Amino acid sequence: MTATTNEPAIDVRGLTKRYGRRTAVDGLDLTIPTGVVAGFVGPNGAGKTTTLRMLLGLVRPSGGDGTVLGAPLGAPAAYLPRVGALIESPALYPTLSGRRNLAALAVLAGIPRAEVDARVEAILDQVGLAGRGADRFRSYSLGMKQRLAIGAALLTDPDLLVLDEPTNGLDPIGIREMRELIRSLGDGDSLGDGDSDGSAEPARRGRTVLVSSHLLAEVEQICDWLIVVEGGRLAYQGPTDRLMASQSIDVVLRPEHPEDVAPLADLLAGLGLPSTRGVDDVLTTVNVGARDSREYTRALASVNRAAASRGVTLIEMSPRRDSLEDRYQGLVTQAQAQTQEARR
Amino acid sequence: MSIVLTSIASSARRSFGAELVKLWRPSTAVAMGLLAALSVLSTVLVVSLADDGPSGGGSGSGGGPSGFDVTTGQLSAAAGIARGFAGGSTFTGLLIFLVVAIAITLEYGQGTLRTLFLREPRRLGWLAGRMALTLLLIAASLIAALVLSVAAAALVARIRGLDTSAWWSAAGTRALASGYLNALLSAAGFGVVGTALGVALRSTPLTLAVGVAWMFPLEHIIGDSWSGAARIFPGLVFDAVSQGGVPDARYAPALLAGIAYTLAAAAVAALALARRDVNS
Repeated sequence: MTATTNEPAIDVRGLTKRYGRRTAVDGLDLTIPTGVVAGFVGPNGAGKTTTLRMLLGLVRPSGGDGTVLGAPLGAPAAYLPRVGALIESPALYPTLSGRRNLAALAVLAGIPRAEVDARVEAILDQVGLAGRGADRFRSYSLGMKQRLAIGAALLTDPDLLVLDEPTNGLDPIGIREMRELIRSLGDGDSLGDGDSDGSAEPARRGRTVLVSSHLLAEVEQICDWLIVVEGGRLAYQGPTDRLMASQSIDVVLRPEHPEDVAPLADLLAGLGLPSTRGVDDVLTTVNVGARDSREYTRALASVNRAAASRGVTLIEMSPRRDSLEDRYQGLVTQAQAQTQEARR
Repeated sequence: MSIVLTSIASSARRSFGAELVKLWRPSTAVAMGLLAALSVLSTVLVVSLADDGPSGGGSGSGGGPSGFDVTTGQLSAAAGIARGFAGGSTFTGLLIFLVVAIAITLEYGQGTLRTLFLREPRRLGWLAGRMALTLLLIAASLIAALVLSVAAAALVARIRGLDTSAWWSAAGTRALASGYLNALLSAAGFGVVGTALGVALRSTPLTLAVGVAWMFPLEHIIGDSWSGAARIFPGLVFDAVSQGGVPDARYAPALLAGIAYTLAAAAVAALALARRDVNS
């Protein structure tokens, strides 16, 4: 089953959850296009899991409305059959085998009895547990439990897959396996041209995947859409590369001769590019003014030509970009400041 | 309205099927085995400890549970075939309460309830299917327990030299059927109350502490000094139903009170499950 419209997979406005006097999620507006792998990040207690639970009908919102897969948020029975989800830790029956766990959920999901066995075997194979299907769930390693839980989420071949911290507690190999699995789930049923080419538009694919994570490196590698929340409020949502493209790019320049540092700084000032002198006789310019990688390349070429015209040979020109973590930290700090301002 | 009911029925059917798949685990066999063992044990105790006496004696004056307070004369009557089975109803009721309460609270504790509700968001339908299977399982377990109980009763009666010829008459069969039906009604009541309490409290230790402490020792302690307790408190009411009435609570009022408790508990379970957030 795949999505066939350009309608957002998730489109909610003013999503709010209050527990007594505490507001866990505060008027969140979310729009997640169909077909993206979206990363949902924020510090602990930012409201990520509560938001996911509201989207999945487990928790009743205190306010807000919208649609999930085109169906009203208040009618989860209308859209959950097309959604697969893993929320927090994998929760299956410890004394049942992996196969029987999946079979019970397949029957509950309404998969015809005659198709249950074949479907369960296909899922076990897909998540790499074909040889362990008869073993009890409690005998599985954490990574295997996570994979079986994702398998459970895939039983109905969902249009929307929601994964809450799927790499939690996994070792590096487990994290890599999980990353590859998520990427393959997002890549499946390709409808469009696939990879992002650095433009602001996300890659279009068949299945929408929403992954909550606190591992930004993971999000950066697998997600083409990013949502950042802090204090229950939205700090950013949009294509991941737009967030990264909107940042300033520092460039480190190292002339062949240390005595050329001062003339190079004057030269850059003449081009309107401020610079600072660093240790080891390098110059760091701040923001070459590029909006994308092509402009960035042109800007570097201009600097290099200008330096050469003054007889300055550059032996290093290296970008120093903010990492996603830097950008994320900036967004969170900004959101925290806004929250404090609002409270005043 | 009919669309809603159809939707709930379809959901209940799927829930029933899923619960049936889940039954294939050791805990199911352990629970059914315990039920049968308790029933056999109570039967052995009732038949082997029965005092010599006429069929009219033993009306709960012995201090113990009234189902245990029987005479050999009563045992030799046609209804004697079901005496042992009925005598253990307090224990089987306790066991059913424990098993059902633990099973539902573990769904919260292990987080499996959210896994289930992600696949089946119609919570009332899910609850209906689960309760239907639970009641069916109780019914099947009680049949097995009844068969074993009758076999144990016949064996111990032969060892004691009791005359059991009346057991195998039509009246004996009717007594057995009514004993089974009463035990089933009582067990269903305990099961539904256990489910409701578990859904309301969501914690295994808390549910067991509140449910077991109230319905078993406390109700019996109060019942010892106040005869009205047997007609009002749920545990004692279900007990009275299982034994076809007791001196302090006649069968018909106890049955009505038991049905009222069961329906109220089902309503509480449905309301709590449908309205409350699933945060575990």
